[in-house]
Amino acid sequence: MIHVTRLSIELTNHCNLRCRHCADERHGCEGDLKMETMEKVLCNAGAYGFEHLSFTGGEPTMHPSFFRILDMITGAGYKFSFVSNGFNFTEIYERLLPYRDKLGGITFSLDGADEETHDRLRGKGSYRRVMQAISVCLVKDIPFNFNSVIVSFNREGLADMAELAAKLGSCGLRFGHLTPTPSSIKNDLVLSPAERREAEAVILRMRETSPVTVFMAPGNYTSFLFPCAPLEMQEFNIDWRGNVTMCCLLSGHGDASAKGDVIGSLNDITFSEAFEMLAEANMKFRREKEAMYSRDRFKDSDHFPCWYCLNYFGKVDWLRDFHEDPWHDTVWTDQIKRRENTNAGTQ
Amino acid sequence: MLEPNNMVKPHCDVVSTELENKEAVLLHLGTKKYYSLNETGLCIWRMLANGNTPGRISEGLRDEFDIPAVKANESVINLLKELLHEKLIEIA
Ligand SMILES: C[S@@+](CC[C@H](N)C(=O)[O-])C[C@H]1O[C@@H](n2cnc3c(N)ncnc32)[C@H](O)[C@@H]1O
Ligand code: SF4
Ligand code: SF4
Repeated sequence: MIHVTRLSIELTNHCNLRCRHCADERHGCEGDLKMETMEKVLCNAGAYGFEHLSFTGGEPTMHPSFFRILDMITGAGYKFSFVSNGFNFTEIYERLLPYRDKLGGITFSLDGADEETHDRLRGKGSYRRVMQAISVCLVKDIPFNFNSVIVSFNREGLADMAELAAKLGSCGLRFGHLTPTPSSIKNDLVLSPAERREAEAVILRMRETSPVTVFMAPGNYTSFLFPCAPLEMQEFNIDWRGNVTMCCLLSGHGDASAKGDVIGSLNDITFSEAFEMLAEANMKFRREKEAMYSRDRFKDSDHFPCWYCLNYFGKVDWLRDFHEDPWHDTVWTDQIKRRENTNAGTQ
Repeated sequence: MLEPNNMVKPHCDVVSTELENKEAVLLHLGTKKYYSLNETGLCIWRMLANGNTPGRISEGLRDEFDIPAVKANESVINLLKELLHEKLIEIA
């Protein structure tokens, strides 16, 4: 049996912020992961070698049974971590303390080294809230690190973010590229492919000099075809609806028809069935990517692996209507046409 | 120099966070240094944040902890001086 290291669970679709870069569906406030699904996961995950669960959202700490879930998973021997905007941390941290020895760390989203930049993306007051969260972590000895999305107005401040992370005693700083959303285009946040590569070069240099561990989330320009945990079958993702999906980065993106990344729902199928279906979908993806590459049908932009996935799963079809966007010309229009023809044929 | 009638206020670059155990943390957004306040420190911090003069804060501390006036004055002045020095407060 394959052993997978990471189990990533989107606990809820509720969120207390409305960040400018975030897909509407990600904070749609429609629901939370059902406890039955969580129980089902816990009954099965051990057999697949999972030892660590990581929670995301929405804002995962807003799941109405967040602490009951922590009770369940730590009771079953799992370690955990979660990513949070830190906004409600001063209200919840006390209840987190009993689970500290099983807590691998908290990833706080930090999108600017200063208040103005961070709040420009995440809303007024959010920087001070995340700094309050850090204050608590510092005195309570809770390990934390930062996740930063590179956008047009913070890309000049990447080194400042690393300096801030180091001074605050963060365990690390992870930079990630922005997945385009209609809102991020409207707010002029998107970097062109060339600008992305410039940012990557800065980060690469920073890795050698920065006093804090700096790294890039998957998604940077690369000649590796399968450069990330999900594509290496080292990550199993479950969204708040209970769907097993190819990758948490794809969840909530694209329109209602772009659901090719959804493998199946744990409400309908067993964990092991979902696992097999995921392995199959993964193999198919790998075969097709390899074939496309070897037939020389790769565009330069397809070397950004998340961009490739977004196209593969039809999650950026809407970008066709944004002619001014720097990614507009790199969207896989042939594939869209093929899909449209297939759909027309089946109607 | 700090006078008993000077109004002091939290520095605009400071984020204060109260903890569950009647303590607090002050984080300076400029220096990125953090400081812990114990229960007495938190009591003083709250009063200064509410716009009280050092004299009023000292009276409040006396009432709260039932300590002699001299001791209360000393605690307030010492802490305020330290907070001023670290730029955690400013004279209003
Ligand atoms: C979806 S959020 C969930 C956790 C929590 N709400 C938070 O913001 O930290 C997880 C991470 O995804 C990032 N994110 C959101 N929208 C994104 C986008 N369009 N592209 C890349 N990262 C994005 C956030 O900045 C955050 O660091
Ligand atoms: S990025 Fe996180 S905090 Fe911001 S709206 Fe999306 S889910 Fe909420
Ligand atoms: S979107 Fe694709 S390339 Fe990016 S992390 Fe997910 S699976 Fe990997």
